[in-house]
Amino acid sequence: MGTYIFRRTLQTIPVLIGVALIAFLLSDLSGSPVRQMMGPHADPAIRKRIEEHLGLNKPLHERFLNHMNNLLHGDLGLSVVKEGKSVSEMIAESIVVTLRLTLGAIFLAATLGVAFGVFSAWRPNSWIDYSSSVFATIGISFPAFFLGMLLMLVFSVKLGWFPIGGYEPGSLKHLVLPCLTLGLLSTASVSRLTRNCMLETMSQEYIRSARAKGRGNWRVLLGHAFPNALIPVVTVIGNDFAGLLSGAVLTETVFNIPGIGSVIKDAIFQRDLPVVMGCCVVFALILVVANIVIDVLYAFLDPRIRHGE
Amino acid sequence: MANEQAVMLPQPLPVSTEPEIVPSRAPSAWSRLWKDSRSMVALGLLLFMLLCAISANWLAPYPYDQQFRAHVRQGPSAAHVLGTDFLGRDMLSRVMYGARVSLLIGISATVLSLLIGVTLGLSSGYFGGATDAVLMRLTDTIASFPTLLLAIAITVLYKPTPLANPGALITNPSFWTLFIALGMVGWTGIARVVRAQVLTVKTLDYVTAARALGGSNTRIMFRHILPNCLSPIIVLATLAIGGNILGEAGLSFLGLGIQEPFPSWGGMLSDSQQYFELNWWMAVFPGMAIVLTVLSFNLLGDGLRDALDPKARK
Repeated sequence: MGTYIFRRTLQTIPVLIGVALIAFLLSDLSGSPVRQMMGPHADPAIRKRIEEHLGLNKPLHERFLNHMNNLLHGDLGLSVVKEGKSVSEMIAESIVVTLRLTLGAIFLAATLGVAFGVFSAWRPNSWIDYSSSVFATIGISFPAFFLGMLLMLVFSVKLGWFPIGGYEPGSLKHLVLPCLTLGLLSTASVSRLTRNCMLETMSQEYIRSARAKGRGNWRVLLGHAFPNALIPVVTVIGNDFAGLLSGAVLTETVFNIPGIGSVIKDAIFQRDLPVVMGCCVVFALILVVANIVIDVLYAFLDPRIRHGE
Repeated sequence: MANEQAVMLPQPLPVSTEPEIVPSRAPSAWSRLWKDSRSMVALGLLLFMLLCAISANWLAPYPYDQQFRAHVRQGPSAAHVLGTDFLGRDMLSRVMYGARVSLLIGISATVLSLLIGVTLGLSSGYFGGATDAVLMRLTDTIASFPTLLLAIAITVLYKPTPLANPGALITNPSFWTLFIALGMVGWTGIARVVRAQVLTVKTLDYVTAARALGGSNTRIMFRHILPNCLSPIIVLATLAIGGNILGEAGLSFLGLGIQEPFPSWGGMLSDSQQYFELNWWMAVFPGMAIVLTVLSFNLLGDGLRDALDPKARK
């Protein structure tokens, strides 16, 4: 297991270098930040001096090595708009909220999705199965922000069960609707895949022998078929993780939650490029780590993966 | 007698420059799709949206930017079937014009993704070795960015300065930024699927035959291998259009979309944020337009998958 994790981690190094390179090229090719900050009417001599001071006149590869060096030290640069504030600082302040929201959504997707899936597999082609299928198809077509607005309209404005947006540390009430907004999409795909996997497992020989031994329906379903259906849940969450992070940005905007999404939204309006790029790199890093965790989970759940190629 | 003799004579082998006509799978796939009521409803809905988008100039009751200052934020009525927005603009007209942005960006960005993804996937699978390694690492790298985030970064970096007179949609620089941002990030899935498909197809005998006959790499790749990879590409592309429409809506919602006053569904939702608690129609109609369109593309994609891949059918 240890060697597997080690090998899997080594494989991500080229990808991480690639992420850094693409982020660097994207911001570098868009022009000098000094020019952008000083405007078109600035004195060219002063601009040149500042560019020299910041090392922006060096050749491309030296600038990239410099950029890599900064990244490895956790330095994502300075915000152009908020004076003296470093991007890493801004991200560190807000990332906990975003992670809490994302993990809450994953928890919701896993529990609700598996429950729906098991119910559908229990009575295939029943109304439960049918409605969960309709729900799944519609679910993947909903933009997160629109779903958030609808939930807010119904549960906060009309029914008054939850607060209208905002965030208070430690308050679960503020997180219910955002997590639901973000998690429903994955709930739909988890439930479909759980259902199909359960049905496939249910037709296996060992299930028949468990039944032949006189095990009850629920016992067979939960004790024998269910553990095998956990793997697709991990797959879906692995596939959806990138979407969840993107969705978190939009969900935070709708519910006015002070996470990375809000930082990005502010940065967009102020054209604070280093902040946008920094968030992009951090999200890519989270995604790479999440993928490793998911692969390790796979290996844990299915010994065939660990021992095979 | 003469006839009998002719029959007895050994016939020369037929030499033809045209490839032998093999019964295509296409007609049966079409008829399967035709019988699938789900796909047909989706197709009908999409054609309706397309009609709205193309003929909004004639069908829409009002111009999209006409402001009825006396009827600001009014609910659905006979004069304004879907109500009016915060500037008193007719929602129905704006939703109809908004279909243009969504469909145009959704389809054109997918075409760009297809061009990149198919070319890279084909080369990667066909050439193998170092080409494959480099291209697939590039794909992994792009895929490790959350798509919306990367699209946001590209749009922010290359956001054009707003024009005083935005002009037509196609000549609007913000349209091209969206097109590039979404098209440049959406190709990774396509490249991976095409590569996997090429790996199986390129070992088939007819490809070896084409190579033995001296076909160039480009010819073999595009004339012989690509047509055999089309089914999954068509399915992926259909689903990708839906994804790009969602992406465009997300970017517009964050204020990175088509420049005002041109309407887009995501932009209308963004505008409604301050008002929707009291004026629900400002959010619900553009939102439902997004959901219905994306849903139709997803249903059509699923239907195409079932129709084109008999193995996947139940």
